[in-house]
Amino acid sequence: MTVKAKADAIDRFVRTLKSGGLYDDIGAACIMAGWTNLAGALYPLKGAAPTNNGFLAADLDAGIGLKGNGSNKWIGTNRLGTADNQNDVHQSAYMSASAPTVVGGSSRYIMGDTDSGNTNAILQLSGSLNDSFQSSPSGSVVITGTAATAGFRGMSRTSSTALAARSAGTANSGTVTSVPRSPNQVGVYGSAFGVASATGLTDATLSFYSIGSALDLAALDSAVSTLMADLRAIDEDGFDRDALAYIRAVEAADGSFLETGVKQAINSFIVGLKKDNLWNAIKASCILCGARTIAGALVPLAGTAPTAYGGWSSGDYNRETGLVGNGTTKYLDSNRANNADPQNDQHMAAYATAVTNGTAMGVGALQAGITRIGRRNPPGFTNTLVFRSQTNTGVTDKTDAQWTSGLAGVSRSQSNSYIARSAGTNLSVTADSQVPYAQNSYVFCRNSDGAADDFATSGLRLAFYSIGSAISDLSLLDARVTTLVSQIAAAIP
Amino acid sequence: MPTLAPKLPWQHAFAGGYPRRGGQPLPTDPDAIDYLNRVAAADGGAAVEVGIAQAIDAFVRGCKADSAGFAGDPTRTNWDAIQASCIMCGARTLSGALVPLKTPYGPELVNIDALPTPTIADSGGSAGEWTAATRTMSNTPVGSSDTYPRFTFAVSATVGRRYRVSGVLSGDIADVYWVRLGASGVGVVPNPVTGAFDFVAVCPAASIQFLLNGTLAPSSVRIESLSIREDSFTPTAFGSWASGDYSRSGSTPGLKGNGSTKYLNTNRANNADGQNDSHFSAFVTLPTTLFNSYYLGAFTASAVKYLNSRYPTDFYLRDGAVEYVAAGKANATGLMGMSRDNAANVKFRIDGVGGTHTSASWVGDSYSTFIFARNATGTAANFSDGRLAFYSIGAAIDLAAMDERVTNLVTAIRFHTLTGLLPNDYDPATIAYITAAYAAGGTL
Repeated sequence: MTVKAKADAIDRFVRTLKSGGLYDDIGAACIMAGWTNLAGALYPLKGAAPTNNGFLAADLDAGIGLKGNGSNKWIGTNRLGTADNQNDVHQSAYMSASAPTVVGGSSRYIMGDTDSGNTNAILQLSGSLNDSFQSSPSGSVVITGTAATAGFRGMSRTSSTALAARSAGTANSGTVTSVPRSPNQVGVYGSAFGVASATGLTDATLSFYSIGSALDLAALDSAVSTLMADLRAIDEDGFDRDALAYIRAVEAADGSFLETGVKQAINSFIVGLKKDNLWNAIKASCILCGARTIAGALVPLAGTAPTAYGGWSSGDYNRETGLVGNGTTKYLDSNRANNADPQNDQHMAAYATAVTNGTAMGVGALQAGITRIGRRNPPGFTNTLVFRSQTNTGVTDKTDAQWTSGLAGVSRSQSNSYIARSAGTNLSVTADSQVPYAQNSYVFCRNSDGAADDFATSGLRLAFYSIGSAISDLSLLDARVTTLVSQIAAAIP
Repeated sequence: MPTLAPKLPWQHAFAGGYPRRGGQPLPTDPDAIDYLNRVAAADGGAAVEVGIAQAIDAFVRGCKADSAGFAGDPTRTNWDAIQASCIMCGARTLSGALVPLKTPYGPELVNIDALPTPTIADSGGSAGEWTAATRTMSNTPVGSSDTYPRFTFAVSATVGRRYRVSGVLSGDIADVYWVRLGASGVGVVPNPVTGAFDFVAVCPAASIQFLLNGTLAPSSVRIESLSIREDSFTPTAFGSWASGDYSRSGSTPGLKGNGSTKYLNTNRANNADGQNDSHFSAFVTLPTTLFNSYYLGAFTASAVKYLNSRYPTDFYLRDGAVEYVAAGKANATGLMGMSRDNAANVKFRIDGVGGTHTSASWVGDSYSTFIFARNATGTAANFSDGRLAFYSIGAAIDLAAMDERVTNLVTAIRFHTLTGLLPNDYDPATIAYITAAYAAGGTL
């Protein structure tokens, strides 16, 4: 019924446009989400069919639209700037995901036309998070703080002086004298320049654009945003409720919407955890990949959000492989006390996508009655991978002294032994439990009596961690996380 | 609602919905139902899907809701104005596509209770007699001619038009040599058991004639019933059309000519409608590739009506004295046609644009209008290889409203077959958008 659901959503949109008096104001438009291929995504709702400059099938996500690359991919709308009166005109787009290059990079055009020194365009300003709505060189209306936030943006003018703008739900307006429109086409993902080129290309993901005469931007925003929410929701039909809550939280933190494939991977992961009876055992956890930003990656899958210390930056994060520490200052406080779980009912796990040599503590709390996963060098240990679970006496040396990519974890469900797992192998360790240490567990280092200690070197990159009650079979968690990380990597264009 | 429900034949027991599973609307307009039933019969008993039936129902209702804009009759609707017409898409087979949209027989021309007194011709010793009170034809003496006496009843039929003649005789049925329309040509022999006869013929004279076999006298034959109704709605296919010529949907639905031999005789005489009260139209889904070819045409000394492509450049439309040149429109698709409601000028429509063109009306004659060619005084000429999904001929009409209805009809049929969804559920703009995107290769 997906086709019907999508058709229903589009129909609601069209009817809303008509009932709101907007439909006739739109001279050219494309709905780039909902469709499963470029032929549909670039078929015009109204007006001339656009020209595809460089987009491939892999750039299209039916849930969120078409992703630019910021270098050579853009759409020629084949709608001349002069098709609309310069004092009775609008242009709009819906951005599903922000352009990471916007901050500190060059200004990026969502859409616009440029000719003879005049530019009518919507752009993300360089060096800021501001959106600019330009009738250049006359002037512009700026909306601050929205450039990296998904949502509708548009500009409309009903006179030679008044320019209204809207971005991500924020409206602004100003007195900006209109400038002549280009005799050439309007571009999307860039400002069309001349007959067949564009400048200032963005790598944002867009799912809609429209060009035409002046209209009520708030009303169009409402209609387009509803359509996009409907289309995204269709791909989430049947999703687990906890998965949806987590996805929403990540998207809110990111300020952008996740790719359909990423959402499906997350949903499958959570459904799988529940099927394996693992979900309730996870009390504090983060999926440190998939999200578009560190902020999104630190949204807790379960429990309290971690606190990031040490000045993490976007360069430390990779959507496909996770978060990498610097070996000196950067770590996460899980905000999960080691004694939050019972002495004989606890697990801790981390998933590494890149390993490190040297002293490295992946997750851990250190003191009498500690739990930790890490690797230590001499003295005392010879490149040994160290696992402990609620004990300070049970130390197990692995034959393979390397920290191996994949899941490493410990789980204790009885007083005299616990299970350690790495490199796909479980090892039973005989060690009596002790009263748990009361301090929080840290990630990328251990908590040594309240102080971060034994930092992971910069080579260690984690895509997941979890802390909670005992897990009877760590291999199940290993399989789920491995699949999750693999599917997320495959889903990210 | 189950996914397949919109694809159920509309006559299916569960077409309107499954018990406790909700429902979907079925056609309710009586004329739409009549048409759909006739299409189903022509399609071998297989009714079209609910989605297509809905589209046709909406089309008929829409035409009934649209004023024809005819000053001479403000109550006339576009549905009233449509006379000879075929929807050449949607139906499952070519036979179904050639079922006339409207009930194919015109008003009854015979009042059985007040038959005119016949003219009686005798030969070879026959002595025909007519008894009006019992509607009985009789002949007593044995004659030498097997085709006399002849009883000729005047009928208000028009020479050259097509009529369906039916009735039942009783008495000495075996003594009836022929029943025929007019007073010449070959007739039919009534069923020897029931006395029934039923045939369609082009009228050579405004009369119907019964021929008794004088050699079998004495004879007495009673006319139990008699019906003569014009059949100007059912086309006759010429040129060996095959199933491959017909596409019920897809990107370019309709019937495709071959540019050489295939055409339809609409059987609608070009003077069947008023000299200053007429229209003709066709809906093109694939333009012809032949220069000076006709989608529709009547072309005689007293009637010139046509839709003529001068591929690859211009398109000509004509009704009466002067043709209208639609420059650069040879590749136009969609509805094109002309409508006349006065003697001086005619309205035209092509490629979504309408206007008025000065052209004096011509009186017309009994030659019928052809589709995929022009009727050049009885001979098909200038064939088209375009694909048409609809044609109509009739009284003056609102072409713009007609354009919208036919466009929506064809698009809705394509929409349903491409997506499996019910067109009734969606705004026409949504249907047009999704259908066009699918036709371009898109999928939701």
